[in-house]
Amino acid sequence: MEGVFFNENNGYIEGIVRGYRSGLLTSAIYSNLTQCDTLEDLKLQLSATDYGNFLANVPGSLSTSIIAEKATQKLIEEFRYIRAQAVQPLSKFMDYITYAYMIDNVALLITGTLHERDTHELLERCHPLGWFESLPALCVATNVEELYNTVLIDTPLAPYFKDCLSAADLDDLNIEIIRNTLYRAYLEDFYAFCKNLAPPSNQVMAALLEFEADRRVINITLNSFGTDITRDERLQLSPKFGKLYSSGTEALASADDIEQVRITVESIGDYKGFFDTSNNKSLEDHFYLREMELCRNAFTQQFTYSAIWAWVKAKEQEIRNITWIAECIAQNQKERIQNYISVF
Amino acid sequence: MTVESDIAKLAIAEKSASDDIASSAPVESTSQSSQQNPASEQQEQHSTPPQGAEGEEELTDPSTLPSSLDRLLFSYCELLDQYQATQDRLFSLFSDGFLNLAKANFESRIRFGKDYYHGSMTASNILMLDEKEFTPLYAPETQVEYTQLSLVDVPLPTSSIEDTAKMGDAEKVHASTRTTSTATEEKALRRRKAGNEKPEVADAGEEKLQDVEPPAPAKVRKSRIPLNQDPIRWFGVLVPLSLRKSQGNFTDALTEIINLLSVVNKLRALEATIDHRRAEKA
Repeated sequence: MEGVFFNENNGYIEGIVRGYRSGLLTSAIYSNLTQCDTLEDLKLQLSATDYGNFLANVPGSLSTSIIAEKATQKLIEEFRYIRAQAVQPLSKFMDYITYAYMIDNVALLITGTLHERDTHELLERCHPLGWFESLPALCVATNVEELYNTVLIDTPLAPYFKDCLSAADLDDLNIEIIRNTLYRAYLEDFYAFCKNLAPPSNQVMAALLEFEADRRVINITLNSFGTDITRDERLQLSPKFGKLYSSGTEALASADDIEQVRITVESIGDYKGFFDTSNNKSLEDHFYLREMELCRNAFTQQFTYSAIWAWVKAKEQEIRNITWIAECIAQNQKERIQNYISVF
Repeated sequence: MTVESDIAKLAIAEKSASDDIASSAPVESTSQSSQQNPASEQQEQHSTPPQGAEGEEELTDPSTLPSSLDRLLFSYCELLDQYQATQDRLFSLFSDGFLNLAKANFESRIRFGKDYYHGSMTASNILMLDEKEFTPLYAPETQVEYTQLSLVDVPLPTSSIEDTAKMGDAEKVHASTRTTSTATEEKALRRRKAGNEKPEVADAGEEKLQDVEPPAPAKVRKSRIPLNQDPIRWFGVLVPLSLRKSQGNFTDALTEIINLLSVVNKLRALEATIDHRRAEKA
């Protein structure tokens, strides 16, 4: 029954998204890209895909960061087009996707203030999908309280602050903790929202978000070895859902080295083999591969919102792949060029 | 008898080849030509004497050569070899560094770049130039003067040593006792209670919005380097492993650059000495 009324509001959008999905680069195109010798060749090859002439007006010589920026701009335009057509509850769903970029922007600006940078210069570097009105006012905050009361209280990020309010000053450790706490609260909120969607959106999104939560926990644990992050802080940064919740997250919070992490993670059947580093595949490569497989499978369901999430994630991965291939070409490291993730 | 005549032949062959080496002036171009000259020399040595193995053994100890000029030239070749080895290491460190940086960008949400640089970054190493002397490897009687480069770490602010001594105390410590840190760093430095973590969590809950005035007594941070001198922390506390590896590669590369430049200075100085000797002989 779910399909009957879905198309009334969301049929056009799903059609557009599926069109975008069919324009995603396939492994054949990627192997053509890996055979390019210069960035100009890469530009030529990409002009035959959906990217078209996205690098046409670049002044000066091409660099990998320009390629990444222009590709991201294309994603942003497409996202905004779809968002403009969306009505509730899809519009709320798409807004949730943008909150992640908002958190990144907040972190960028506060870090910039801590680093004594000019905020106007940093405002241009913010991710456009994460823009909100009071973003420029962030530079005045010197501690978390001010940050909340003067700036963020009217933004959609306000409810995510309840676990990290304190009179503490903003130094680099606290900024990291705040950023990750916000992200955790955002994921939990998004998960709760998705559970209330009509099936099959709820099931597909639940699977995708659970994987995201598990992956965050594992990354936070591994990256926190050798830093000042304590066990309790690690627990505070772990989302309260996912396959690793709750015994896995407790075990990971107390882990001290990669072996303990590996044992805990491999107890989940789905994540066996993630720590296998043969073929130059790192843990992150396994994570991205699994995420892309989940996204590809998400497209097999019709009349769901998860197609949009899957498309956004797949597109971001594509941009990362193109950037990686461009870097390998620019650095003349052709042996490592095959490390991109392609599932389509 | 045959062996001695072979040695004499080869000593002449070397002298003419080494003249070729010493005559080309800039160091960079000699590295290319001298690469080929000793290589071709070696081939001659292998092909001419019938007892190849014995002939080689006699020649591998250049410090027994009578002429000091020859020994200086051998030392020069040795230094050239060192120069090439250092260059190879440098190239591989740089390529690994950039590759690891690309990997870190591939794996993370954010792009690690100049957006996160500290506005008032300061140096973490100081370059020292010293006039030193070195003895060429096969000519220990000679001393050659050259300019040696070395790296020295910038000293940490002295007050940090006192702070670490106070680590166990639960008393409130004022935010800034550092003399050299920036104003933002002074405001931002806070200390949380050392010792039990449970009361710390409870405290954080209580003091939420109520007592604003003093920053709570804090635990002392492990890292004592001020933020503007510690680049890895500019990108956050939880940075990917690839980024740390990249930083390691580039710091090692810096040491190799310094070694390389010292070797270049040694080569130039030795070259001047050799020219001087040749002029004396002629």
